[in-house]
This record gives sequence, C-alpha cells and structure tokens, in this order.
Amino acid sequence: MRDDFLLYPGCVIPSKLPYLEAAAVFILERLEVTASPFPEFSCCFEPVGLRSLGPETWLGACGRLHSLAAGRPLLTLCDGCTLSLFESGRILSHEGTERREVQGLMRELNRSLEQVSEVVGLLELLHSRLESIKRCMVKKQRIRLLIHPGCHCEHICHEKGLSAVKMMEDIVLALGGEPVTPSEGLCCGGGLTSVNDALGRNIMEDALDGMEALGAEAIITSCPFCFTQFDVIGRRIPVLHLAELCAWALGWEVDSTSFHRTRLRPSAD
Amino acid sequence: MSEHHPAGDLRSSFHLQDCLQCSQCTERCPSARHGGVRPDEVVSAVLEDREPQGIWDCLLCHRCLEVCPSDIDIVMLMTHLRHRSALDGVAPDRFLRTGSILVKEGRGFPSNPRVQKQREELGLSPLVDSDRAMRELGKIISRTRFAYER
Repeated sequence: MRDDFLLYPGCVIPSKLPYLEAAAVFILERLEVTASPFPEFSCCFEPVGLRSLGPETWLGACGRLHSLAAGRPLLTLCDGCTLSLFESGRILSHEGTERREVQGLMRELNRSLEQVSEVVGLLELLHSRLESIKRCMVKKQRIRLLIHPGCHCEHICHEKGLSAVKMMEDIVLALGGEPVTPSEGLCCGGGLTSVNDALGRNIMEDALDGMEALGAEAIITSCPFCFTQFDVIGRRIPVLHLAELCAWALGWEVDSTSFHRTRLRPSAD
Repeated sequence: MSEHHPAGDLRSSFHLQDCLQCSQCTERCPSARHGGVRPDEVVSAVLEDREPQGIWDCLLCHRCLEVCPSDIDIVMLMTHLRHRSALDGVAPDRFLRTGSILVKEGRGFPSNPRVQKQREELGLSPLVDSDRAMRELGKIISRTRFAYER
C-alpha cells in the first residue's frame, strides 16, 4: 500500500458528522499518516440513490476524481465513497467504451484520465497500522462492541480478498475492547429511509433484535450511513464510529458522544 | 418496456441468459426477506420483457453479487433499471430531491450554519467548494442523462 494519500472525506461526514472527520484527522496526525486534502473536491454520487439517477453521470464524476488524483492513493472516510471510487476505478481501468467516453468528458474539462487510483477505506488503513496504533495508544477502550462494518464495507473488502469483520475485530481487540460478531452480516436498512420507511424499519429492527440478543454495549461501524441509521432512527443500542473509538484510544479528548442521539461513552483506563 | 435501456440491451449487457434461477441472490437479500424486492424475479422479468417490480426497494447492498454462481452483476442491473425508471419520471422523491441539491450545491448532502460552527469548534476548515469544481461537475451532468427534481 502506497502511503502518500489524498484524503477524500466525502459529503456526509464533513457536512453532517464533522466530529467523525475531526476524529479521523486526529488519528492520521497521531499515526503520522500523510494524507493531503483532496484538490477541487466534488461529490462521488453515492452508490444507492444518486448513482441510480445517472450511472453515466456517476462514472463521469468519479472519473474526474480519479483524474485529479493522478494515481495517488485515495483515503476515504465514508464507505459509500469507498465503494463509488473503487467500483468506478475497476470499470475505468479497462479499455472499453465506458473508459473512452469518460476520457472524452475529461478532455472537455481540459483534464486527462491516464490511470485510476487505489482506494483505501479507514478500516483497511487502520488495520494496516495496527502495530503503530498499539504503540501510540494511551487509553484502552474497555467496551463490548457489536461488529458491524456495514454491507458496502464488507463488499469492498470481499472484493479485495480481505475480511472487514476480521479487521474490525482485530482493531477492537487491540484497543482494549471485546468484539461480538453476529453469525452473518446484518443490514441497517438505511438505504430505504424516506423511500420505503416501513420496509427499512423492519430490516433494521430485525438486525437490532439479533444484536440485542448478543448483549453488546454498543454497535461499532465504519459507515456513516449505518451510524446515522442506528443513532437517529434505531435508537435502541448506542453506536460508535470506528474513528471515535480509535481517536479516544490515541488520546483524543473530544466527547463526540455529545453529538449522538443515542449516547454512550466507554470507560477508559 | 421503456425506450431507455431497452430490455434486449440489458439482457445481453448483463448476460442474463446465464441466470440459473437458483435464487441464492434472493435468499441473501435483506429486502426480499422482509417482503421487498426479489432479485431473481427482477432478472426473470427482464428476460421475459415484463416490467420488474420493487426495484426501488433494493438496498444495493451487493450481497446478491457475492453469491451469484453466474457472476451476474445484479447491482448494476438494478441501477440501470432504476435509471430507466427515473428517466421515465418514476423515482422516490428523496433521491430526486438529493439529486437536485447536488446539481445546485455540488454536494448531495450539503452543510448548514450549525455544522459550519461545529467544524470551527472542532478545528476543521470551513467547507467551501471551488467554482471550477462546480463548473466541471455541471458540465458532466449536462453531458450525461442525470434525472433529478427540476
């Protein structure tokens, strides 16, 4: 993995959940990860709603982002962005009509698309720096956490030959927590909020029933959509974002749970 | 069937004739488990030139993709069916509104003064999108078929 990252924060975290961005920035500084701000930021057209409104638009917008990155690896904070950039990169790395069409669009913008970038999500990055995290840790996070990477994170990792669940378990253990893992991945139903609320809620409640039976104190996720769904709509089990847990372990003093709807702060050593 | 993305094109683009009708996609689908869309029936509908049902109940979670023994990209099939539906004027208001916000503001999920203040308190820089990025995004949108609330 190259480590001269461009940090692509996405829309949701900077615009709705800025404390997660602050936690991630703290982690990157503490672990001495080089991650420059993304130049000329624009939206990735997340893969559930916006991509459906225009798959060609999605590919063009993601092509522009790959063009701007010019081969530097992209570090993403949102699993929707990770998926958008990863899947578009896979399409655009092959010679074919779609790549030629996006290259034509880039020429109209006075840009060029020569190569696509590797896309690394926060979970994958943190797992690759596990030894560094252990060295820099100042406060163990003793909490029993339900492992929930989320569907998109799990899929990207599956495609890369990695296990999102195993990586998240390893990180939680390293931070002093106790991971609790469901027998199969559970869906938060968030993609259906305000689309088919009844169906989305049924899917979420079913997931929460399974989670409650496992007796975790909180859910841990790396996805801002799952995070919001469980924190704002579910409100049965507190949810923590991976960035918060890791940042606290590394000495971040912000009580970001004050921004949560369903609050919990793990006890620290 | 719609004039956008004709069924014959979708059948060949996604090699749907390779579907074994094993229904593994549907067994793994969280929406189908709760009475939502059935991916196997969507594939059958396209093969038989019928209108597929429940496409907006798909979570695009990708689980179907991971189990399909014929490697049919059901996620992108569903995406193209949704796009076709949106171009025909049928799509959830939530998505169309988000599309409209994106066209106007450059972000599907824009900030507000309260969040900008939070960013300041957290030591983060203000969110300001560049004019050039907005212009370029506008050009990409105008050159492609993006459906949004106008």
